[in-house]
Amino acid sequence: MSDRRSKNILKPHLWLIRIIGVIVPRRLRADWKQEWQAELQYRELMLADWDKLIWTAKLDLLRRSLGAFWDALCLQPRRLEDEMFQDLSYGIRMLLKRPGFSAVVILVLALGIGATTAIFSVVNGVLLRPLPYPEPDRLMTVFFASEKGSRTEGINTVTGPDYVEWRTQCHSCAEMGAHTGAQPGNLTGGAEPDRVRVGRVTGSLFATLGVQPMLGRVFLPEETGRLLFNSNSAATGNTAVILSYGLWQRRFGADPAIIGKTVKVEGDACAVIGVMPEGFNYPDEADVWLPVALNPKRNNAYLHVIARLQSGVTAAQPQAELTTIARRSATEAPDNNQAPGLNLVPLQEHMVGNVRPSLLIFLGAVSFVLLIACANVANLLLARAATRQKEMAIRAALGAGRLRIVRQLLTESLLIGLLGGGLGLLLAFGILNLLLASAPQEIPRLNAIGIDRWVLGFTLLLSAVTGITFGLAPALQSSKLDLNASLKEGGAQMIGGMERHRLRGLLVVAEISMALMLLIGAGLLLKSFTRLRETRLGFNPDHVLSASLTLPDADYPTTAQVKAYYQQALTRLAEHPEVQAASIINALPLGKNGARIQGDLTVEGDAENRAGAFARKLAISPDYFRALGIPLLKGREFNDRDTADSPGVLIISEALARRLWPDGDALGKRLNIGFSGETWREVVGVAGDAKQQELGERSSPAVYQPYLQVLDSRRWMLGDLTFAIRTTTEPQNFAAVLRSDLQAVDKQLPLYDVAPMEQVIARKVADPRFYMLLLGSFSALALILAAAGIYGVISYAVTQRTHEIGIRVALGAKAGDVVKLVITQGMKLVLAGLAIGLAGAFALTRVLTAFVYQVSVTDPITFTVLSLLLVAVAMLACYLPARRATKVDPMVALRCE
Amino acid sequence: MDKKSYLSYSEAVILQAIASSYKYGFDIMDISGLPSGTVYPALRRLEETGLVESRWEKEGVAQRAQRPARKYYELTRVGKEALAEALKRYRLLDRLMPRVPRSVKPSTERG
Repeated sequence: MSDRRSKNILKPHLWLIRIIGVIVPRRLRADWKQEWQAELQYRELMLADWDKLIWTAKLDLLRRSLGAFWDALCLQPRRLEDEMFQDLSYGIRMLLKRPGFSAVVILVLALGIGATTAIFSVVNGVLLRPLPYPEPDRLMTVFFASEKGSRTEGINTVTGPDYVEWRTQCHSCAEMGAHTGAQPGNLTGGAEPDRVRVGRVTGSLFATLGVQPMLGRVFLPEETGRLLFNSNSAATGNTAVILSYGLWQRRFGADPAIIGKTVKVEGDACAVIGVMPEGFNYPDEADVWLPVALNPKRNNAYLHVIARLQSGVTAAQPQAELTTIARRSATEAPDNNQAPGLNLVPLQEHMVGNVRPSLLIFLGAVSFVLLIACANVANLLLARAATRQKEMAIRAALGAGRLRIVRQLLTESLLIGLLGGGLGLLLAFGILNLLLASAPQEIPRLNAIGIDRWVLGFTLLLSAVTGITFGLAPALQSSKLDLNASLKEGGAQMIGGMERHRLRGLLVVAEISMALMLLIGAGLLLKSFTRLRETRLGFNPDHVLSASLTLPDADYPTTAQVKAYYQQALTRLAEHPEVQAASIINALPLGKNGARIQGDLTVEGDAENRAGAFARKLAISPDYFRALGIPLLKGREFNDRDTADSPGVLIISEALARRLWPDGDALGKRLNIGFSGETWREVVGVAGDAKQQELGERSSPAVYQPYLQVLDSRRWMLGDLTFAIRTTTEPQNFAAVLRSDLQAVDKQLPLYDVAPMEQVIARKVADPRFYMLLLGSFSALALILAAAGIYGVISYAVTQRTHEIGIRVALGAKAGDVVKLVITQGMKLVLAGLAIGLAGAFALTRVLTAFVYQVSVTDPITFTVLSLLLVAVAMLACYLPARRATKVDPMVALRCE
Repeated sequence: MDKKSYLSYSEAVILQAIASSYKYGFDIMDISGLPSGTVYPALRRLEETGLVESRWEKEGVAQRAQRPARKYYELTRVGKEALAEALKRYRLLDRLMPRVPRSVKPSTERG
């Protein structure tokens, strides 16, 4: 054996392996060497003993062993992962060594990353994710340009003839479709009557969007797209209906033989001709689709038009083409009051245009929170870097290059970032569920929100970037050290410490300023929300129940039948002892259902329309004012004698009365409420103003007529009415009675939106409330993080200055002096942060202009109060370490380094 | 990550050699005529992508011959599939080397 070993020493190929082995990554080296040596030695044995080998065989072995060099070179990339692995395992050990520190750091990051991920997933779902149709970027909404030429503001609807002309004449559009907004409607036949959302569409809409029915077919051209429309005809005469996947599942138990079966929609018996695929609910979450009838009149614009462009065509081309077509028809038909300009806006932009600003504001706000979290973590790491200075010095002394140390520290912070990101992702799921549960339903595309691979990618990137961001400064600082000084006990503390301390101070200043900006934003929204809640409603919502009902054209074709139904229902309701007043109205104040009509009025004796002769037009039953608690200021209420046969009467709201007759006496004057076929009606009363559409509206001019006096040609004004019932008991408890009473009159009609009036108002403030809560929680989080940041810095500074404080105390400084010393140090940072934050808030709160009500976005009170709040919190954060500093025992302090 | 489609000719030859029971690096060089600087890096690559796996020869066998244990390579299931795929492209490959090797167990040969 030893003989053989000594022989091996002389063999050049084995030497070569040993030498080349040096450059093989250490982890792989032993295996690598053994493999090569075994092969070479085996080969040797196969041939003969070394001494007897002929030189060509020796040369062959040598040649082969040279290949090992190439092999070793190819293994070089493994060296990197080898060291990374070391860095990583070391990093994990360091984290485990101080579990408390690690937990705090990871939690802080997770909060920041979690909140950011949740908001990003909303932005991603609503704004970024493409519409679920093929080639969605070719889909455009087409509408008449408003005067301002803005992209989404003032979107107009389009008339039937315009749509037909555009569709037949536009060559750069591959397909065009039209629809009306989905409206609630009744689905009857079978078990319970159902309330569904009805979309009225042209057959070409499905082809435009590129959606095929899952079962059956879509509307044929002869079923839709006809230029026929008769507003006076009772039944709309629909014969075909398409169901959504959801409705097909829910109501028809996913019946595969549904095609051809008959259901009743809005009173019309319609054959089911198709079922759309899962997830298709365009427009406005529609449950069923009916063909839209096209009105040939040029003055009735009610269609939304969507075009699919030819591939490769930009929006400019069809825009020019359609503008030409629209101009031509405008000159042919001078009564067309539409502006001749046209706009094409991508469908997605059109759908989400309204929420874009608010979502972007929240993304901005949440990234502030993330930045504060990063600054905090960087602060913690800087503090820890001081304690690890010695470790770094030893590493450097043992030959670690600066790059190696930076890499080690960056690996650690990257690890923290990824752990924080992982935990943040879990938090994001929770936050997102909370967000979606409390989000106002008006946000479009809510169902597209979720955590998908884009969100996951975003979180991963965010974690990595934050890891590097907060890790870089401490890493660079720690690696730049004076070896000699740091190896000596505590020597370099003051020198390196100063620079590190300045950096930590800067981070705290940044945190404070960002927290202040968020606080002020939230404060403005809070103030605006309170103002909104304190608005005088003009009516008393307490103990009022509201519920809506639609009378289908097919079952109640005439106005007289509609009136008879309500008369019967109201009589029944009034009989209950707990009902103080039962009434109906076509458009409930602050509600969303019914015919919400606004328009011009004519005052008797005026040659032309008087300025301000403009009001909401309402039809009510006599007890309406008592039911809602709207005061009658002058004159009389309507009564049972105001019927279709008696002279026309009106009650107007105070705002309208003051506008039309500023001198006072409105009673006895006569008005025409501006519908065709109307005659003069006498004003018999003036009622108090009640908010009609928005809580924030300045003035609420309204004109009321008795519903029994609504003209026969105005059946549509009464088709969709809301009950308002004042009860002595809790209004919710009356809902069941109301339901059974109405079922007794007609059991085919579903009651919907049954809610106490308080809830109707709460819905109206849901948006501002949601925005306020969201920004409020961000700023609370920011405040806590910033306070923790300043606490950390000051308490670290106190530890560093123990020696100095000891000397001061020994020289006679009192506790108050020490507290003042420490707090002054902290307050310098806070004031700097405050100055920057206030300037930033002045610049940034401008984006909130559209979200606040009766509050200036530079409201001095909000600015002052929140600055003071921040100062108070920061003062407390400084006071805790300051109090500790007063406890310093000079004897101990002077002894310690 | 479809590794099969990225098989180079020399990788295919090496897989074919292993399939024909030439399991050691040097044996593969001998039968394929490829230099060691090609065979070894290729083997590492194939191992990393999971087409081959390596094992150490039994220690006892090597000790008897007074040399270190050798490392031999085997095709994985994925490797076999990749080879079958490659054989469709390089049709002459399976005729390149004798299917029955000189020694199935080279370490016992010298005994």
